[in-house]
Amino acid sequence: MLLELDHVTKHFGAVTAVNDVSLSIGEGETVGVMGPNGSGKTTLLNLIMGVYPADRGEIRFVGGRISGLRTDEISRRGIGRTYQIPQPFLKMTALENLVVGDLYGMNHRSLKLARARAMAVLDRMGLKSKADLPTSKLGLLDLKRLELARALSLQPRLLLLDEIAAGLVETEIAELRSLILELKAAGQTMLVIEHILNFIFSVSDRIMVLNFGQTVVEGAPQEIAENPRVHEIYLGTEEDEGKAATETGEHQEPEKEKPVSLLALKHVNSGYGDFQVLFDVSLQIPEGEIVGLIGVNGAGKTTLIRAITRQLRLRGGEVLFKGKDIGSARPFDIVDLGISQCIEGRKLFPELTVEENLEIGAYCKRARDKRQATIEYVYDLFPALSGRRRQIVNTLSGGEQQMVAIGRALMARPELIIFDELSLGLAPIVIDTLYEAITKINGQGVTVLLVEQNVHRSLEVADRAYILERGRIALAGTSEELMRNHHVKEAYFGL
Amino acid sequence: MKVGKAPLWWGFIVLLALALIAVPHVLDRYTVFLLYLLFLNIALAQSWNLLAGYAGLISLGVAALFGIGAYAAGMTIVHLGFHFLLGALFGGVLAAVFAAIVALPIFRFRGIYFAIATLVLSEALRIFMVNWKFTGSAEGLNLPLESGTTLMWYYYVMLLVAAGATLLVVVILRTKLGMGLRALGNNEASAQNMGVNTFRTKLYVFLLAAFITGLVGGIHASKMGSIEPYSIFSAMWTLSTANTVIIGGIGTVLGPVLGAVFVIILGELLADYQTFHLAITGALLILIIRFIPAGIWGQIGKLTLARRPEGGGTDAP
Repeated sequence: MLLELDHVTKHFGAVTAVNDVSLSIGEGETVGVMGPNGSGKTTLLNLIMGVYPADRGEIRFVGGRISGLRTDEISRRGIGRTYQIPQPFLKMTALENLVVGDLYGMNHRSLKLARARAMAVLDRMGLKSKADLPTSKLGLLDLKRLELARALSLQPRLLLLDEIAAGLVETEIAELRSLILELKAAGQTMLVIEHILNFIFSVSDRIMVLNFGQTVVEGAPQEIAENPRVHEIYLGTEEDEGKAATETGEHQEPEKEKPVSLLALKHVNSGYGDFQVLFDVSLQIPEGEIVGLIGVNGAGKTTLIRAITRQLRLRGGEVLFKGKDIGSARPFDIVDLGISQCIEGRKLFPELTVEENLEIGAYCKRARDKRQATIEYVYDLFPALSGRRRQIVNTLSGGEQQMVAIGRALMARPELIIFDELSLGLAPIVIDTLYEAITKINGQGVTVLLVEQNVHRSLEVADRAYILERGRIALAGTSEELMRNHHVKEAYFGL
Repeated sequence: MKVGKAPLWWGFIVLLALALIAVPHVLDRYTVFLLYLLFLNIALAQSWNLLAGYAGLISLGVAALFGIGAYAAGMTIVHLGFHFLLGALFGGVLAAVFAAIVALPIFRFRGIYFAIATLVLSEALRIFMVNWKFTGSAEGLNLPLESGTTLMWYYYVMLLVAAGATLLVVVILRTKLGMGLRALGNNEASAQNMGVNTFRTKLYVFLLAAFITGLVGGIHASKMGSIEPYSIFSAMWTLSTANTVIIGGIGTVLGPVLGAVFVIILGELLADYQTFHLAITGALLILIIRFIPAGIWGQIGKLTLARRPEGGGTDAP
């Protein structure tokens, strides 16, 4: 075996990011690792590369133990890794980027020979003409190619690819796939992490599925694609459905008349730099409803929120709140208009107490005077927090922290509240509590935009939902319609 | 910078060298002294640029290393009767030894925390030196006059050190160490991922920069004839060095040279207005950081780069 992970575990505070994972990769094999966002995939790569130590378990490479070594030592042993977000040396040329890998990774001395070898790798990756360009001038596809080329400059025995296709358009993905397949044909051993499922299915010999840091199933691509447990992970389980559905049944009564839109997006385009994420997105959030926005990681969900909250410029289209264009509003104006968000990853003020975190939420003018009353409302909603008012939030469990984050968003007394990946990394029982709270909040007349990866969870509580696929609305409808729609699974998996 | 331009460069360098060698025989003492200060600035700026400009280590501890060099030279000259050149060399070595000792703890810090750690170290050392009887505490040391060592001597020695420091940077940038250095300055985690032992790379340049800074301090101590901790360990050395590099162009070879020329000329022009001198220099620094963050030479590099269709490297020569 080239690489062996032996019962590896990694905790971050209360969260177990990787839980007792074992994996082995033989010479010449391509193994895929998939799983929803937060399932521990990148942590797994970081553990292999020695970015941080494992809490338990051992990692071996070519039979020798590598856990405990520094990243640069592991790299020199023959493991090349690409980053999900390309991390080139920006002030150096493409060629110089590879020369570093050749000199240090292979322990060579001559710059002249290193340049020649680096040029050969650039040529293979189709970057020869851009060898002398500073990498800050490269577009996303070229940066991805360069990321691959940089790893190859180490002449690695094992290549670790972290979402190399993320953020690319269809034709670019196809191009990158053929590069990977060429490497595979040349006998390169690879570990591939990928969200774009047809990509990972087509390049891998074997796939391991992670969820909550644990191995769920391992098998050939075809088996994985047909595995009901994999569908469960991505689409949600049938059991959680029964419980919540009875509680929220009334909400799902289809309303006959078209309700007034509190928030509307019209033909919105947006993105980062050269990289367009949202393409002609239009959606309506009717007043008083819960609207779900569903999509896999990288579909553009968070970008869409950033476009709504003005943290990102629109390239076209408009965002209307209560019928008014809010295009000129600044990010902090949005809160005073009545839009509040519960950010992905919580982003609490970790050194402050529960109550202090809540108080900051009421900073905006519309909520300042009513602060005390809103705080009591939040404690009513989450009695668990009531006894912990003076506790530093850092010391709370993940679920309690998420409650504080929801509470903080409520403190602004919003008319529209946005939840981004509320359930990320939390245990199902905790998620139940949070979803109950969402239903209660909505019952008070607050409109909700619920952004989720988990289809079933969202559809249970939502009145309607939009499915986002690579920056475009792939499907839309009421929850009942979508529940019955078999295309949901296809749109979601991109098969 | 490419083949066609090389003879032009060499011609220029040879002419410049001849002119600089002739200077002390032609110009007045004051101008020669100014040029000595210019070389001193260039040498300090080159060594600081190696750290801050290429490795991304913003050190605010120039004064500490400069002071250690000055005192090590002073003590050996006074008590052991060393020749001033030998004393200065010893100063450089001791500064490097000091750097090696503190490297382990301070390399744990990144970015602004590294800067603060080096500043604190430097200030602590100054206070220590004020109180240390062994080195003459606050009164400092009086160095004996070197027989036969005139201003011209110091001029040539500092010229050699400045030229050597500049050459060293040029050479390093063309070796493996230079590649690793720039990689680490660009993105440390990514450099480790590419096999660069970033600790060792940082250590090498930190020791080199410390040696040059200490050496300069040692020469200057001998030139001054007397040293005391307040001025020798003054944060002024750190600030003026950083100032010089940022104005000239951080992360470029010629930036520190141009920056030093600029700073010395500015100092002369404003010599009669001491109060305004610092205020104007400060305002200028702010304007440069705001409008041409690449500095004078960096900006020239950018403009010429924009005109060259093939692009070329990003680090100006």
